[in-house]
Amino acid sequence: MRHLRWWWLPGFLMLILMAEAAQGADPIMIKADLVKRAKNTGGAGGYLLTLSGNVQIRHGKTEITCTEAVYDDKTGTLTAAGGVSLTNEGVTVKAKSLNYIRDTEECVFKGKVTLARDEEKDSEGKVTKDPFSLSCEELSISAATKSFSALGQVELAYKDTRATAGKMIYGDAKQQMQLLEQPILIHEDEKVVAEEILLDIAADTSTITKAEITFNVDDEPSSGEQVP
Amino acid sequence: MSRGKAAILGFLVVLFGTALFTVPLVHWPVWKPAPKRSTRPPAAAAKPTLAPGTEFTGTKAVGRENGQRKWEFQADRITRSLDGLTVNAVKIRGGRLYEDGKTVCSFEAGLVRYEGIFRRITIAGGIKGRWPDGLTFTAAKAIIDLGREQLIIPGKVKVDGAKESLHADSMTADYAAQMITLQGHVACRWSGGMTLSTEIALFDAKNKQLTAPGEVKVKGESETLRADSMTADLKAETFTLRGHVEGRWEEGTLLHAAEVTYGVKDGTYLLQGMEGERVELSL
Repeated sequence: MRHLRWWWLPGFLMLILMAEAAQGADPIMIKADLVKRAKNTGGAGGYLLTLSGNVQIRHGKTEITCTEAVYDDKTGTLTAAGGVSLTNEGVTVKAKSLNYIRDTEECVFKGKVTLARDEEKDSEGKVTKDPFSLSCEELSISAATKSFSALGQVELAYKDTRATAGKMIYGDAKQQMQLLEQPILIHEDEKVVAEEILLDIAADTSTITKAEITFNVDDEPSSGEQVP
Repeated sequence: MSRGKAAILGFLVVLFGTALFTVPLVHWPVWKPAPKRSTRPPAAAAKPTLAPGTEFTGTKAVGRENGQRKWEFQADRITRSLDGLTVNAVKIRGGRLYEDGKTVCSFEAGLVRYEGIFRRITIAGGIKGRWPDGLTFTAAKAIIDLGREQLIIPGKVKVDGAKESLHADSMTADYAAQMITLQGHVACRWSGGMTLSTEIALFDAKNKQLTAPGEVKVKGESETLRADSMTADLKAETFTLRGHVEGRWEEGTLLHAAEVTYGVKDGTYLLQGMEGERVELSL
């Protein structure tokens, strides 16, 4: 597994909510075609904000757009639906719905989730940030515990690396990422099919269980051939 | 003619001429014969002409026009001018104004002055008025223009409904149609603690519709709002603020919208933007 480095992956995913937490003092700016503010029923106090039509929520450098959203002041929960898009520092997450809990800083995207960072270039045209993409059916990120999990047809793409799995889990406490449920890793000419892949980011090691590894071996050039 | 005679003659001519100009200017006493005293008894005093249609029964006065009862009141004491065009009354009870034979407004007051020539009733002293649907008003002075069917309160006035209370510096009302115009420091307070304040408000009391065509401010337990205009349905207990609506809720949320509708009963706000403009909130 030459040149296979995974440290960047959790960094990308944590970026969104880490940035969000750092912007805690900034006001949350909301725009919408229609807003309903109702008292919370059940004696819980607080209020419910129901946002409809061209909803745009900005908090620092994070921007969420969707068609409908509900914010519960008491529980600090934001539920967004309908073409949800979250952007932060060039990273865009799209999903059918988003559930964000303010206190625990947990964020759950559901339904055809795609996370992508576009390629960025400096003024001289030199690539400063490589494109990256992740897709799955459900993506949960917790800024408080610095962990995330991607479920359902997980697909990763970064430079020459591709990975697919049924489930992907990362925990910052152990700094380990698990690829479960028939994970497949493809890097350049190498392909790993395993039952489980455990990437220890701190130790920069990987443990592959019940793996089948395919790679190409370049033939030694014959004496008669010229090496370019 | 000797010189002496000529001098005397000249003196007399001057004296006569002077007298000729002076005598008419002096008020000479004129003798007049003493008036003859009649031996007949004096003629009876002329009967005062009452205002047309005004009837008095004891201390109750009733005004009619074209045969229809227009106003009436019962008082502790009623005095009237000799020509009958002015009536003053004290401690008014059961004052009523009529339209098509039906009571459209009733009142109590300390004093009433009816001026028939102006078709005007001025009432003063702790006025308590009431419309048939239960809406009441209190004021220190009021003028009832019977010709225009207007109730004019030139000073501070308070109008009370079932759940709302309106205050203003002055009021003009079509008392039959119950269309009320409030002016100057107009404040509408709901029983829930919400207060609307503006400078001019039109109140359709029959339909319980309150309209403020100018700037309006709303202050509640947890919110402060301002808008360019407002309409309120006091029956449904909702009000709608329009045009550059800005506000703040107690938790610090700021809002900017083109139209805000608030339901007093359930405390629900509905915010809308204008065409091409969205509602803006800052949490």
